[in-house]
Amino acid sequence: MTQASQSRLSLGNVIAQMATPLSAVLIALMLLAAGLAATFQLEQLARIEKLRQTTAQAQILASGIAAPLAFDDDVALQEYLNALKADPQIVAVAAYDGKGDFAGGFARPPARLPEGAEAARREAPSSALAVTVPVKQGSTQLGSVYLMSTLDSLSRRLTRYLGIAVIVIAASVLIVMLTASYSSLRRAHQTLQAEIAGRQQAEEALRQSQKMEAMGQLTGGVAHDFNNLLMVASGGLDLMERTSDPVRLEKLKAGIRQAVDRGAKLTRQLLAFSRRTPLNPEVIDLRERIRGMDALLERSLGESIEVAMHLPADLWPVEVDASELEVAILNIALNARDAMPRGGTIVIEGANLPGNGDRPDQVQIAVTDSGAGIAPDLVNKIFEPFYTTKEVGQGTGLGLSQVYGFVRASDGKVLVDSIVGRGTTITLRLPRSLLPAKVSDRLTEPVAAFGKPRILLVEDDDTVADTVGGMLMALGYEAERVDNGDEALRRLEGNVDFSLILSDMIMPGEVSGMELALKIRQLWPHLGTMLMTGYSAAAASAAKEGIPLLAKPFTIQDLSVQLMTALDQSGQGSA
Amino acid sequence: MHDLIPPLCKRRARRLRWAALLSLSVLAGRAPAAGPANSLSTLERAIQANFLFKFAPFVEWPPGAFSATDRNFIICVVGEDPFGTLLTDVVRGQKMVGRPVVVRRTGNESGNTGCHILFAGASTDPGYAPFSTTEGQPILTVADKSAGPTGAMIEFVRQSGRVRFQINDGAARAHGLRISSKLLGLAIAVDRK
Repeated sequence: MTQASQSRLSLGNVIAQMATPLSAVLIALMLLAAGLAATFQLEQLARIEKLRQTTAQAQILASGIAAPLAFDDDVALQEYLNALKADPQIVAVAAYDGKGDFAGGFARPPARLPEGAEAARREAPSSALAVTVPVKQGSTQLGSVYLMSTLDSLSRRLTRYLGIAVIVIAASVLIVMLTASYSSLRRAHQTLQAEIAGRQQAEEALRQSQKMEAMGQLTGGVAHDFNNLLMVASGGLDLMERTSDPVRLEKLKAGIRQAVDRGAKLTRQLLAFSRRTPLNPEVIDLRERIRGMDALLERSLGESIEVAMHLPADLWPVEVDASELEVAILNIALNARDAMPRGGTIVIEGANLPGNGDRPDQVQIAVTDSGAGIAPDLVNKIFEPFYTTKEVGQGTGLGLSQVYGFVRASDGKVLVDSIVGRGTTITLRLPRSLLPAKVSDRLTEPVAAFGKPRILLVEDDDTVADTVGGMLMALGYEAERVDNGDEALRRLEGNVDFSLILSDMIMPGEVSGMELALKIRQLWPHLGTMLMTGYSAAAASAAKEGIPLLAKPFTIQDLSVQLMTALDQSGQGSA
Repeated sequence: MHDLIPPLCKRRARRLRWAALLSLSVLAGRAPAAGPANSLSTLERAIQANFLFKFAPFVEWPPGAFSATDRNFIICVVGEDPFGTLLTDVVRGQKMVGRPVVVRRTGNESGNTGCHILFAGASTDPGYAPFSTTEGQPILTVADKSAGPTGAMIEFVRQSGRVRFQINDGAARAHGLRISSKLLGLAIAVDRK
């Protein structure tokens, strides 16, 4: 802010502070006082002027009556004096002879004539409009003239000042009114500002409470889901201890596996929602991917729902995170199922959308149900995080928001077309990739290690270390575990007899997993490193450095494939 | 103006005073209309004495009329003096044109040198011609028309029981005197030749 505008601001403030009713009244009073002073001044001037006129008249009279006065010509004298009667403002005229005796004159009541010239002279100065002028001929004084006149009548003078009075009073009233309205406006403004501040606070509080409500819904939903999963898992384990029937054991294991998978999916969805999961884009064939989901969909949707797929063979490839795509399709399908409580058909259609001028080529996947539909005013809300129409515990409100997050992150679009009572179509539009689709290398069975490569496992959590260590041994690797990065470096300084370092990212100690990987790359460039983490922010930094990453939780299959890849790259796997 | 009220009481009192004096003089057996000089009432004489003095401010003398040696303004009375102390009382302490006013009585002598105003009273002297010696001199000559010689510049007359005067302005001018129009206006007759 410049100095000038500051000073203008402060001037404005000063004026605003001054514009109080009190100051307005003061200004109005000052105006009135100025008006009165001006009137008084005018009165004074008029009085002086009148006195001058009166004196002149008296002198003319004195000159005229010199001879009649000197020679006692009463008739002529009275004629001279009576001539002044024509002026209504002259209220008294008297002539006195050389001895000071009264010689002639007249007076209009209530004015009265002085007894003699001496009395007239004495009276003259006290009443300012009375003058006494000597009657002289040559240097001889023959007598004196007394003349008293009035100013204009009060009503006349009031009429003259009425104009000024009206202007002054109107201005005063105007000032008072303006200031009153200004100050009331200012009060209203202050009230409004206070109101705005209050509303902003209330809004803030509302937002906070909405957040709390969302948290409540989330924790309610997530806790409920997790409790169910944990129930399945712990119940399954209990039952496994009590049976030795291999078929039953297999069934229990499958149940536990499913529960754990769902838990993992749930956390992945949460992370996707928070947009912190690293997208792992790859060029895929949509037809193959979605078709591969049929079993998953059937299992998830239940028996009353049929899934029909119309996916042309010439669908263009897209570059997306394949697992996110599957989750998105699953989420849409689950919503479709919930919209059709009495069962129905879900149609998944694929189509190529050739681009035009400003739109690139896109591939469209539309999922249509014949369910209840979505009311138009809710269409905008379905992608909001935590928005759910389901009971607490039935849904997290994160399903469709995952869809939205996935599509936006893949540079695509999601469209909703719904008719209440008829059904809903949710359409995903994903940009076409010009690269050929990678052939799916999904392995259903873990790949055992060739030979017996030594793996240095760096993990601070004993349980995780045991599990991962067990997995490694099951895959035919030889594993040695240390607690943290510092220890790992010391171990490596002693002897570099490992094919790969598998390290957690976040550990106690001075060297984090990331730093350890960078240091290893610097000191032993031929030594492969792989990081594991459940924390997405850390995962992003690893991806930036190009270090292979295993996202927790991972299956033994994931581990085996990733290890094979990493060992291949470092040239150790085939040794 | 209906509301005009002259101070009647005051004025009436003044009139009554004059009237009382007049009637007193009438009762004393002196006819005011005509007769010898001594037949003038005291009041008339007082008024004439007063007028005599008051003529002076209305008359302008030529500069040569005032002598450098005599610092007085001189009123001369020739013939019978009708005023006595009246005139002396009137002029006592008065000044005219910055000069103290004095009265000089010359009786029947016509020693009018230095006079500024010459009042000629009655005279039993058959050769009484007071104005012959003033010929060509800037002297204001005054006389009572009814009781004095003729030929004065200003002559007192009686009109409606009041003392008035008539003026021979031509004679005054011929003598280098200028009489104010105010005075001329008040005269009952003015001879301008």
